[in-house]
Amino acid sequence: MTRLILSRLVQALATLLVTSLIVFVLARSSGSPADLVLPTDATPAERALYIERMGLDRPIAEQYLIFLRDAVQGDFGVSIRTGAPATELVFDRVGRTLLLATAGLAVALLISLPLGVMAAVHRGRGWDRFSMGFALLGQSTPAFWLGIVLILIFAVWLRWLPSSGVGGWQHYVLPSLVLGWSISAGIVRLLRSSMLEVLDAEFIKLARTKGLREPVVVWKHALRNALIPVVTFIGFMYGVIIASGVVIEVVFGWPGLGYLAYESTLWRDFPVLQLSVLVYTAIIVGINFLVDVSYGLIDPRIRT
Amino acid sequence: MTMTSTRRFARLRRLPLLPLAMVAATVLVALFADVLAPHDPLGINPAARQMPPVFAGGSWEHPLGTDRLGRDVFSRIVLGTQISLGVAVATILLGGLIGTVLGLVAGYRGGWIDALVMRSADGFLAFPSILLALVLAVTVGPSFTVVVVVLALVLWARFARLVRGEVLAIKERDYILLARVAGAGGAYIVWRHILPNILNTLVVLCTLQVGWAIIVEASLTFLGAGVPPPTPTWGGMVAEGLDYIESAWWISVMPGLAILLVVFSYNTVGDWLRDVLDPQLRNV
Repeated sequence: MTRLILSRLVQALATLLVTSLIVFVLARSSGSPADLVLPTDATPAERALYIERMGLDRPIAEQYLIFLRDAVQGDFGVSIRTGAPATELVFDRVGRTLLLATAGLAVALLISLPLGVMAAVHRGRGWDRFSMGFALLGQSTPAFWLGIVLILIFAVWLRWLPSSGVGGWQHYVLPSLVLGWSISAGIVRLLRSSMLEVLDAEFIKLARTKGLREPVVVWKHALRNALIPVVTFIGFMYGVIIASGVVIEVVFGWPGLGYLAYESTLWRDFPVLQLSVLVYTAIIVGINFLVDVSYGLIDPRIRT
Repeated sequence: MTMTSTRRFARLRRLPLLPLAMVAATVLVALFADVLAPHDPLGINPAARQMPPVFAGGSWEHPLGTDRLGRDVFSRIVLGTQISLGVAVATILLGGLIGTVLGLVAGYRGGWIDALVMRSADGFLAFPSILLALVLAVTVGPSFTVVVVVLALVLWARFARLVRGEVLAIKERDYILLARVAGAGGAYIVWRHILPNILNTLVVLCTLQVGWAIIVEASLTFLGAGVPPPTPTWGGMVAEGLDYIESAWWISVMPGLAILLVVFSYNTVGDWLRDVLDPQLRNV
């Protein structure tokens, strides 16, 4: 078990390092990073100072080490737009992004657990067709467009819900619905095939022979076992939902990390964008690490 | 005999005619977009700004309405097909080729090469590609190439994982062992005996990834990290209409509907191909 944790930890750190290296090299490949990081009206003296401080006149490998040194000390530069430290801006937004992603995941489970189970139980009949059709439609809908259509219907035409921003629970409804919808398809398909497999197993036949009522067999005995592969997938999907939330945050004007990254792109605010990407990667890599380790705890077979 | 013929009949009956026609139509539209578009997709017409579609009180002159500059939405959707399909084809060729080669090598050779390829594949699958696209948009500027590279970085990993799994299942079969005993080299065995056996799987995976590529390309373009304006793109059109959603909803809704229809068709055809060619394959 310790070995699994250690190897996954090394892998997670390696992913983060590689990401920082990619972002670093990209920033260098587009000409002088001074142009990216400094405001356009910076004086030559400010430029010279920055080049000196970041060691831009030194070999690129050394520059990367300087970047890492600053990063470890929590120094990721200041925002070109506001002048505030990038860390301040970014960490201010993380909570809201995680909240929205969690709400989206809850919606996804509410949709996909019943559909997945019903599809397997009624294989080849109405429910199955409906669930599979739903999954197909879900995989074919561009989430950002669905968000716009929902805004049009529920905010512009019916005026039931707010179109953007944060506030009460009403502000969560549309964005979390879109996020949840966008990942439900995958969960429905996986749960269906997992349930089909489990429903065929000996212990289910035994449970039925014992005279247990069918709903108990399906929703308790079968679902519990069918969920094991699904749990890993859901953990993975949490990462996907966080990353794909970037587009949803932009559509709904949700002031999270994704919207910040988008604004930084428009303003060419590179220090903030760079840190946003690193924080996103850290969150996703962290989640995958937890999923891998908890999977090792549940299923001893993969503890190698 | 009766069994097989009824089964074959069931298959034929399930032939998704409409989606297949849509798939063929998108290819033709992409190839002949310049001829098929009734108006100049870049032609600004101040006299015809924000005209509604024909079913919402507009005229057949602009069947899907016009945008805030008076450009014909239908013509722009027609031209947008080129970017969407172009990106999808380029991505799948690039990512599919790299992923297939690496998957074949990893699966056949095993050992540390296998570990390295699979661990990197995991890493690339977890990497938030949308954010990488944003970084590239700021540093090297948004372009067709940027989108293709970003998508291919994710796609190769999907191909590598699937191909490796297939190779592992095939390589212990008797005829592979026989070929090895007969003195065939690794490259020869992979090329002549393993690759032909996974072609069906590859065809299915390619088809199923077209829809994914179109949606992600549109998302990137929506965020300003795709092919920049004035080139008409579906994602770009949705973004342009966002500010006018209250007065001219069709500017955003129509191109999104085009994405939905096209992706739905490709996914339906992909599902059908999977059932026909490779029934064991699930969850790709």
